Amino acid sequence: MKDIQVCIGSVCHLKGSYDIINRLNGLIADNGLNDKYKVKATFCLGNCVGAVCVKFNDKIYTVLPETAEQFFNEHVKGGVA
Amino acid sequence: MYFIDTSFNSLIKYGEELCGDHIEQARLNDCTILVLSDGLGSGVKANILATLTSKIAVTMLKNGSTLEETIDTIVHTLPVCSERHLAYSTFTIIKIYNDGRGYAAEFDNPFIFLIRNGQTVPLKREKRELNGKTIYECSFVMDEYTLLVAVSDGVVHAGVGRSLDLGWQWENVDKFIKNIDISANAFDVTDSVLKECGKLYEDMAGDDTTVLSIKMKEQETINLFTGPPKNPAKDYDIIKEILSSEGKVVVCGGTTANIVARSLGAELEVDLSTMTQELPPIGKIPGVELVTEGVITINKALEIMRDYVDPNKNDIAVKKLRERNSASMLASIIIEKCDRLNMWVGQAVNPVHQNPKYPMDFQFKMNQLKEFASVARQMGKTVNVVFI
Repeated sequence: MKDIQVCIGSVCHLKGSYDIINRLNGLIADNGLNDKYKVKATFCLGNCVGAVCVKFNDKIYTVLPETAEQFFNEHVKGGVA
Repeated sequence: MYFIDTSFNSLIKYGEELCGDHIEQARLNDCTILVLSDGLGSGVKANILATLTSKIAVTMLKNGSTLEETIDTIVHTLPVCSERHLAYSTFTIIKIYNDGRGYAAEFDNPFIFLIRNGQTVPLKREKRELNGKTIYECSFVMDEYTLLVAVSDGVVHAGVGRSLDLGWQWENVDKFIKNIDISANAFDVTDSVLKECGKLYEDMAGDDTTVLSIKMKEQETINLFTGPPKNPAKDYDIIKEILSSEGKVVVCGGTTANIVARSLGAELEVDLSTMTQELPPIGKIPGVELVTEGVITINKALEIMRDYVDPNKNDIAVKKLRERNSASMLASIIIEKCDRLNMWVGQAVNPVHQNPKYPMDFQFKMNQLKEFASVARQMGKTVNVVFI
């Protein structure tokens, strides 16, 4: 089980953490990966300039609600195989 | 000092649209005044009598009028019923000070119930005649184990003509209230008494039925830590100082929370179930009362606090206090559990605040906290602000 950590600090919240968490949860379920990934919220990841910060495999990515699916396909789903 | 937890609600007489009982409340710096009034008859007429009586009483008493002046004004103001040729409305006036001292003046309502640790507290009532009305006055002391309930006669008559020939009766109501769990808050008490009345009336109340409950909640010092200290080298020392201060600690701010967790060697967990579209979720750090995001949460909590001190919006705020989100939890701690507020305000500037596109910059934060302190002072809290 791997965690996908979504920052919910002030800036990230304003830029759409709420939607990103919901979208990632939806994508994980749609792809039948509930036993592999878990979306977790985290307080400030320290890179407010790159909000919304998403931490996965020890790397911090900048994700927006509209790029959530792209992030998921490229880095999460792509990484399964 | 205590927080005076009050809750009231009514069942309206079956078939009526308006309630003939009315309660008014005024929260002052050192005390809370409540007036429960039951107007003659039912429906519109009763509603007007009860509303006038309780509004006049609360307005005059909070502005320092004596009981004599207040009752005199009520007697000379109430419209006379054209059928009964009477201007009549009962009242129970209750005044509770923040230190627990209480006073009641009762006229023609069922006597108040005062319960301490499941036992009825005997009250020494003094009889007084004012404007031809017999009024009973009494004084008492409340603490966190004391519950005060005032009701309209619809409660002691509950069930008349239905499940009970003589109605519920004062002694039985007293027994019922004594059995309510001492940890219940005022809302739960009012709710359970009214539910019982509804049951006895078989959901068709024969009279307007009103319950007012008062409980005292112990308050304490709250240390609100928001924003990382200006000098990161001092983080650890400052956190040690805050955590060892008297009272409970509340942390507002993502980075601040991370620093506190790190200094404690603790895991910072996020409780996603408290997240809403508007508000980031709360976090959990052992030994810390509440952990939230900073500027957005404080802004929302401040809105609730502002409404709370506005008599016209107080009821909206009270409802919001019970919601499960970070701002409601923060506002509830400040309003209900805090008599002394120490605000530890970090002066570090987040680089993103330099971005003109970001609407909540450092200055916004400082102004917001200034207002937060001032609204808390308006509530009668002692507020101390430390810049770190």
